[in-house]
Amino acid sequence: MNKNDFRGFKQVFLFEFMTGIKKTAFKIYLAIICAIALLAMPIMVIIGNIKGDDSAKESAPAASPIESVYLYDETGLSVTYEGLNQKDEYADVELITDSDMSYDDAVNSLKEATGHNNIVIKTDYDSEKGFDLTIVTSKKSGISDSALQSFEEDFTAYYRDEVLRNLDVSEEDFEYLSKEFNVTVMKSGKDGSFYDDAGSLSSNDYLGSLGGMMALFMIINMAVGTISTSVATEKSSRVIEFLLTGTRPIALLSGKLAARLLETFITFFAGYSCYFLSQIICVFLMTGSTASVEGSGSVVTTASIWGTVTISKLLIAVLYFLAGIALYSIIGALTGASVSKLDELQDALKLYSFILLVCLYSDMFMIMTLLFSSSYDGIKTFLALFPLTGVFITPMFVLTGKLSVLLGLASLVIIIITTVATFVLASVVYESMLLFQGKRLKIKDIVTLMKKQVVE
Amino acid sequence: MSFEVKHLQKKFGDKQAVEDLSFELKNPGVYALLGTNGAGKSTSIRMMLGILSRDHGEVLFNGENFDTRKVNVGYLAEERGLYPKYSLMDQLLYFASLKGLSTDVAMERIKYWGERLKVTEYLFPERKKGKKFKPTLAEQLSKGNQQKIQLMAALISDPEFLILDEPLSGLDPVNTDLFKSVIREEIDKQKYIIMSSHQMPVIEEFCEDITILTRGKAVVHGNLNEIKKSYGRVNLFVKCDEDISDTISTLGIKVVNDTPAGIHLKVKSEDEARALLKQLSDTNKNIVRFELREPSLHEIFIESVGEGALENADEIETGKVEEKVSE
Repeated sequence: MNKNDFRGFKQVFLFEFMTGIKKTAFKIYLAIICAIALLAMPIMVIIGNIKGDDSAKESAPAASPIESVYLYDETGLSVTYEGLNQKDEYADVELITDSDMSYDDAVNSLKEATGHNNIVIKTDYDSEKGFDLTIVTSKKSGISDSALQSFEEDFTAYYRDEVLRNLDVSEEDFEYLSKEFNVTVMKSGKDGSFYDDAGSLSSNDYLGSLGGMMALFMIINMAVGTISTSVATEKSSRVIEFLLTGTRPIALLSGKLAARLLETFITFFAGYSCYFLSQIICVFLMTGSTASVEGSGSVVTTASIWGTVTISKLLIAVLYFLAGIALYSIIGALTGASVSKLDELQDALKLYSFILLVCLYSDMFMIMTLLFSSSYDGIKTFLALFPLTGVFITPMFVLTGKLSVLLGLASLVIIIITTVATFVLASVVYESMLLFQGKRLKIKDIVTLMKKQVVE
Repeated sequence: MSFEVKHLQKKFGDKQAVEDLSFELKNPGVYALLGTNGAGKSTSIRMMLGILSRDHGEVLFNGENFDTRKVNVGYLAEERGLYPKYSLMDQLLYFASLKGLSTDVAMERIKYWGERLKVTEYLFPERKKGKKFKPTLAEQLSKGNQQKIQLMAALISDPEFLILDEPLSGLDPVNTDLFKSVIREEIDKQKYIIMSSHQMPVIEEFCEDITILTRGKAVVHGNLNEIKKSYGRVNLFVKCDEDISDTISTLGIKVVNDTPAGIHLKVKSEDEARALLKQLSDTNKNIVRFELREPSLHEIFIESVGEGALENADEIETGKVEEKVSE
């Protein structure tokens, strides 16, 4: 293999790329990717907003069915409950703090007081457990479950504010103190380096990984379909005879590969740009609206996947992704070269499809098991290191921190070596396969050719 | 300048596809490679072009290893090929770029050859107002027109070395004449051309030197006139108003063919023909035609390859690659 063998690479690349992006199939595929990336989030937000508006419309005018609330505060704090009456739905609720009845009597009276919508609440503080809020009501009362749940939420929020006021803590201080702690457990590996033991997958990462795998599956299928069809067309139409007069098979193969990689990059870039745009649209949709928790939550869910991304991780993931596309594309090119007629291509692609699906399902199974447990480290590492399965899983694992940068780097080295080796072996048999006309070459024929030519 | 093929060999499994093929083109002109189907013509051409690896032998151009990436070569393959779903213009520009031509030069040449080969309407279809421009795809052309585009692709780089594998097969008489005139133009430009064809009159029209292959082996090669001379003037065509079969049998001359147009005889020497002419003259036969000539290329070809080669030709052709794989 020398520099002269790559003569014509640029021309092949440009022709393949230009004809590739002109194809209707590519345009439709790109439009679908962009449409999904652009519209999925805003649609979810819009649906969430509609739901939010509906529930707001439903709950706003309705007064709470609760008639009286007997309050027993044993925390020792001086809580004033009158503020609750300032809410429209609780304006008519009688808040009794100075009842003659004891708490137990009040609870017992609920059993007898049929036809009255009363509630008994006891607040308590335990130095170990914290605040205890006990809300008691009777099944015989006319208070519905939803009304009770709504009251519970509002009362808890109101009570928390009152506690803060009692302790002289501002809302900002409270928010600051209420931030969650993100715990990262670092474990030392066999090589002595420390890595992040992120454990099982969160549901956010699970959804993100699954979505990413599906997108990768589509991209790889598109690249493989295009390259195998291109090779099979050149063979069946016999254009290959003409092309080979001034171009070596390796230049043809690498030109096609480069064109597919650029197409993939464009698709990825266009899809991500649309996704980024969709985030901006979502922000506009949520601003000044009664955006529901579901809608805004979806935006945050997807965005949180990028929270752990660093430049090194991103670089590993992108390089791995491109190497993976190249690896599968070489397999696609070999598949295309194994047939003499375009009609036979679908049949020849069966083996590729089988391998692809097995790898994809293995990765999906891994992701699903990781949702519940983190005790599959061996399988996880194998799937990440094995190039054919790693394509779908490793970039995600590296980006989400489920795979250490070191292991990610090792996976990258493995896939690059595999891809280069496959490329070299493919270029050895590619020439013979391109000139072959006859029955479809089977795997054993290709291996025979490979052995013969590599040994020679 | 010279083009030299030395001891070229190729085996597919147990079958010897090409065996020790050697020839030389010392001067510009057309060299013919002849043979039955599966005789090894296309395999030899592929080996010369470097498309197929050779087991043994070398191909030299001006004394150096013939490399199609260094020498401007035009190739019209026997198995014609165009991308069926791509526009003709895109394909020709691509082929031109692979030969190192700039887009401007390529466009000029496409225009020239488009007019010369009468395919301009397909290369530059009319743009209709208000309608989306649709370029012509290769699959929309007839076989003959596709062949013209193929010839354009072979000639677009103005190659110094041209290989035409069955250039006239499947063409109608009008397009055959058009192709012949193009080949003649290329000969006039002092090009080196290797042509393979089954049409013997075409070979006789263009070629001075030939090689006849059978089962991968060159059975006849050299200057066509010299070859013909070596066979001698042994073909005698006689037509008389009277029946002359008795005279012929008396002299023991072999009858090749007897048709209303005359009798084709094979004489051992010119003296035998003279003896027949004397007999006919002495017996006052009314001689309409008496022509003694060298064998035609067709006859030399048939005699060289033999009937056995014709029967085995297809078998060799279809079996070769499968043999390669199972080897």
